[in-house]
Amino acid sequence: MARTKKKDNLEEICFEQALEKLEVIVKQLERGELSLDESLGNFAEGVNLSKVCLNKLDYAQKQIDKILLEEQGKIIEKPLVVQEDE
Amino acid sequence: MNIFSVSEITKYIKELFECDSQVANLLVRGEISNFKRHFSGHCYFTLKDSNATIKAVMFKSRAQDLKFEPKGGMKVIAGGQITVFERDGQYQLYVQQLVPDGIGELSLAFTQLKEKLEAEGLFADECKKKLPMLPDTVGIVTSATGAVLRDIITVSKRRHPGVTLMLYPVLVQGSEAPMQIAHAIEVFNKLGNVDVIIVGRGGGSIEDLWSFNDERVVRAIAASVIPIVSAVGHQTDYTLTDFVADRRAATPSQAAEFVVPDVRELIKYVTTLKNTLLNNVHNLLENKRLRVEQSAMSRVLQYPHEFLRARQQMLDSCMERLDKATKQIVMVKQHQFEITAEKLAMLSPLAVLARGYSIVRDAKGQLVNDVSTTHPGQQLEIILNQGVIDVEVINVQEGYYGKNQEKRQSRGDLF
Repeated sequence: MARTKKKDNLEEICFEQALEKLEVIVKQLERGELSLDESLGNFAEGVNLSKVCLNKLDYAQKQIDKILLEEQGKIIEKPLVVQEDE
Repeated sequence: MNIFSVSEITKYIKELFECDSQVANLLVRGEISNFKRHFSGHCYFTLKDSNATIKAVMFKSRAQDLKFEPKGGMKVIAGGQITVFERDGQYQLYVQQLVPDGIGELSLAFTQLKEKLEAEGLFADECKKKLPMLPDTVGIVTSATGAVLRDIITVSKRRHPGVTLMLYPVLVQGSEAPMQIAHAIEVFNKLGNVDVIIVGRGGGSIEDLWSFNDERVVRAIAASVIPIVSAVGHQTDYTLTDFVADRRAATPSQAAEFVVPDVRELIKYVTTLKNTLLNNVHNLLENKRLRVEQSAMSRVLQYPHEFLRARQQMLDSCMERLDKATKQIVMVKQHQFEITAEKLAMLSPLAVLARGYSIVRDAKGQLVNDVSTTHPGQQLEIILNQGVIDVEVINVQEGYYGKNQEKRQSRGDLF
């Protein structure tokens, strides 16, 4: 589901935030101002973030598109089949 | 019968006009004649048809926004209020909106609604929401049939095969359409099951696109917490939906491009970032390792004995110098002592006695160093080398130094 509440958890972080964090970490490491311990900590986080990003970009599993229909006030989802022009 | 002044009766007539809601806000169709744009920017003209004319004025504040240049003979629809200009005793139309008649009432209604909603701030840039960078699910509000949906699906899947599309099918023209479109947007917001919504339809006449100028649709879009991209008609068509949407796409395909990122590009980018990260840390570690190695290779750590030996040598040399210096000091001091001892020996009164001098003291032990203080018969004590003799003075001769001394003096005189 798209709009679930954000948790402070790498799995729950949205792609945009993960990518932003990753960019910040790469910049910090490039500047080389951090201590070795900090660098290694950041590195571990960066690798995890890149994994999260790549997972979210994984398109191997094809999604089934849906169509929303209302029947007697209830909304139901059905697989979307594109119809040709009438 | 009451007698009115001209001013009074004119004022009365003006009030009659102003009480009437029919003339307070109306649309008039007619042909422009005698169009004059005064240098002040205000426009004065007459509207006429085959049987009648009416004076009209359009003030600069309104006239400057006209998208076309009014001319005599042009058929127009003018919107505004009719009231009396007291000085000339003339009723006239104060024009707020003016559109060419060919485009019709729809266009005027469009202009009026646009102004109203704009004044409410519905189109303000501050209201525009940012589109998500990578949506999981994209809501689509359009017809279930037709090229629009197909284009959106094709482009979306080409860019990101993993994205989920969710269609809420609606009529996109006709009287039912506005309500359905607004309702679809509300349903997506209620369910919160999409990250972004595309609202659109294909090209058509202005009447075909009219649902997307409907106030209900515009307000539903403004109220949406989910970002909305509009794609209505062709590139040249602008509907109020386009103004209120968070982003306007010229075509449905472009809407899909705005909404769905090219996932291969993103993968490339993230992979580059990851590699940069790996390289950086690798370089960092390599760098630190080299520094550790360099330290480990240093002579001090490699040959610690050498280091000690050198120190030992320095210590030895210091000890030697210390020893030498000490001896030197002792020698110098000893020498000084000998000289001093010798000097001391020379100065000893005993030594003086040994050279033949003697010391004379009286009975009280007082030193006698002047003959004048002595007198014959006085008891004195003479201290000589090796001892003391007690004597008595026989004679005192002042200024006389004895026989030997006399001889020496006479010899001295010779020189």
